[in-house]
Amino acid sequence: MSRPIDERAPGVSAKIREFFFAEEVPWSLALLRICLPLVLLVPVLQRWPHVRTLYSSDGAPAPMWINFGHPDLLPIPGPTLAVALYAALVFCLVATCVGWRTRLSLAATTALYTYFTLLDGITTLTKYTVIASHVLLLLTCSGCGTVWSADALLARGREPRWPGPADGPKCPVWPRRLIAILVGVVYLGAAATKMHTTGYFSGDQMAFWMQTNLNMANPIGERVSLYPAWLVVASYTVIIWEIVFLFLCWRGWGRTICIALGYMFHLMTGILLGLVIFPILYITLYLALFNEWDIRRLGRWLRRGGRRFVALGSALRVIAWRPGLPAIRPIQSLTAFGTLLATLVVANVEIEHRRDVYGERRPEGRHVLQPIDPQRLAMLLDEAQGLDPVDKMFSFDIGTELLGEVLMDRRREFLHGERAIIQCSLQPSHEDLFVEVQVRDGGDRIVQRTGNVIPRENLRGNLFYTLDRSLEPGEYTFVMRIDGKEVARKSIRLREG
Amino acid sequence: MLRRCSAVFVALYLGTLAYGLVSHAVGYKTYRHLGMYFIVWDMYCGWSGWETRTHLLGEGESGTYYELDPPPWGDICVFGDTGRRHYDATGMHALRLAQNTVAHTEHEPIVRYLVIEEAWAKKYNLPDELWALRYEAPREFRSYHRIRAAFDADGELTLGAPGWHAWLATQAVGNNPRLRKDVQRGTPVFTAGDFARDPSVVMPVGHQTYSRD
Repeated sequence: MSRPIDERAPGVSAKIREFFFAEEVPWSLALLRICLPLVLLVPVLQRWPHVRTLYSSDGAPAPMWINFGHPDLLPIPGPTLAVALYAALVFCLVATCVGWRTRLSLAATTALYTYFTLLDGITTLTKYTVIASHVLLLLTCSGCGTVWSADALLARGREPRWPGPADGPKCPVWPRRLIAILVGVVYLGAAATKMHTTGYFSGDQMAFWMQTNLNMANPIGERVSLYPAWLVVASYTVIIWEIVFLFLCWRGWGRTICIALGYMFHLMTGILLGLVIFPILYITLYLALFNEWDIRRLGRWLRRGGRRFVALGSALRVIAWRPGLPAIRPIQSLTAFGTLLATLVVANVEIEHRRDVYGERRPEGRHVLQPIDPQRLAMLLDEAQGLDPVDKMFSFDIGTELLGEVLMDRRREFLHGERAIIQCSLQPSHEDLFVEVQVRDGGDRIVQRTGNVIPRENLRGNLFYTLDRSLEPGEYTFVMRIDGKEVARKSIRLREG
Repeated sequence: MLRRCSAVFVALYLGTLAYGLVSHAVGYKTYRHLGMYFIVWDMYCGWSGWETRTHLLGEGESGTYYELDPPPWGDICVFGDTGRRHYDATGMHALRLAQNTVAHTEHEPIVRYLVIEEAWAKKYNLPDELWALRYEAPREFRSYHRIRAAFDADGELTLGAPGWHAWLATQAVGNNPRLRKDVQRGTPVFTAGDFARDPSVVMPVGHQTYSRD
């Protein structure tokens, strides 16, 4: 068996040529072609009932081109056309997944998916949809439909067994390379963003994100946000990994480590930040980092496992089963494709019409707007003139060790002689503030007062306070005050050292 | 021929990715046109210490106010249970959302639309048990409201105000008697950059006000 194309090593220009134009059986791109539509179908089907509202002129589309100052860049479809095109998008995603009229399906999916995402810039278009548009375009240019596809099955004889000793149809490797490069470039761009972002390296930005309620629920993230020292370590680890990924992801241990860290990173974005589709989609794209050789090796492992484990063997036999279909000519396949597509489109238009999403054909008539509750109205119209000092404070902690800018150990018990670090963290944005800290004894009497100016470019200020023997052992409270008002307090117990 | 076309495509694609990366890294024409959204990878850039929500009101000619979103037929929530209007960070599409509700319901003539932004510190999002771990004082949730825009019956903008984060940054910068005095004198005018990377960055946008004398 020949060596994998990734490991051949001729001269520089030949290397580049080989890197992009060597040929391989596109197993990994076929896997990607199967998996990517399945991932994309989740948000696409979720929005299917709302097509009229999100994407048609009879609703409230939010075209992204308006945000960029091009008000009439693309047309906004009428409701019937939007519903019809959306049905076509769903059909093409399914056809792409099964590999039926693959290139046509992929081309249509690329165009329709990108168009619909652009039509709703507030709840459909995100960076993962942009990445998906890139990958769909690259898959359209690839030979991903030549294996593991309905097209190959229908044209019997073209479908090689997986992973056959001989070879399926070979295709140039450049689409897979470009997808892999895209994966790495996105990480590089994300690293540049993090470098630009104030509060990234101190963990503040991640902590705030974990406390945000705009993504899915992330209870573990909310808990982790209370331990910013971990976020400092994670911030540096992530940015280093993002920068080196593009350069190390191609072979050997570098690839193994990069991919393992990638799986971990995306898993954590799901757990800690409440992201769902983005991590699943991105992990799917890692398939482009595997070459023909890797897939063959995977096949060998699976076959070996199938001989050892009965259940796995049975599953492999089911996957390898091929129905005994008669050979179908391309024109017949295309006709069936068109007929099914037209049927789905017409059915969807009719169903959507009957759904009457705005309730305008209800027996009781159109919905009637109800006046807003006066109390709620008063609350909404009560315009803020400034912030309460309590809302300028993010946290108030006492410990003894710093990592980066944040406290590693928040403590409630101290020994005589220890130097306490009193950390006052503020909400962004704030003016230049004088933060006063009072030390009070068990009877809430002020023992000492101190303070610090926190300029507006800083999110926190630290005060160092030695708990010397002038303080009797016992209970003490540190009180943080802004604008003369108490905004937080922390109790500690001081013991004999 | 096919190979040549492929080579050209590869070169163009890599060039485009590289342009997006460099543009983003050095801040050159990063948001110049829609195409840049497809090659600039600026995820995670807009997260702050404040959670914001949008409320859309319509004022009838009788002076009665109506809440226009969520509409009577139900909200669209695609990420958890937060309604669609809250993801319109720039407020650019709020009017269209409001007008869609008006277009498909019965009501008196609407003479004014109001876009109201609500904001609260994200620390209030913590559940009770985590709040107790972090803070000794009991939680007293407090949110702030500001009118972000007002439109007349035809959808013409009659009042536009900065979003919460820009307003807050302006407040922070403006909390300086010397600066206020200078501003009152007329030169120079300062504002906080809405899209500045650092909220503390001060960007001069005005220069001179002319005396009527």
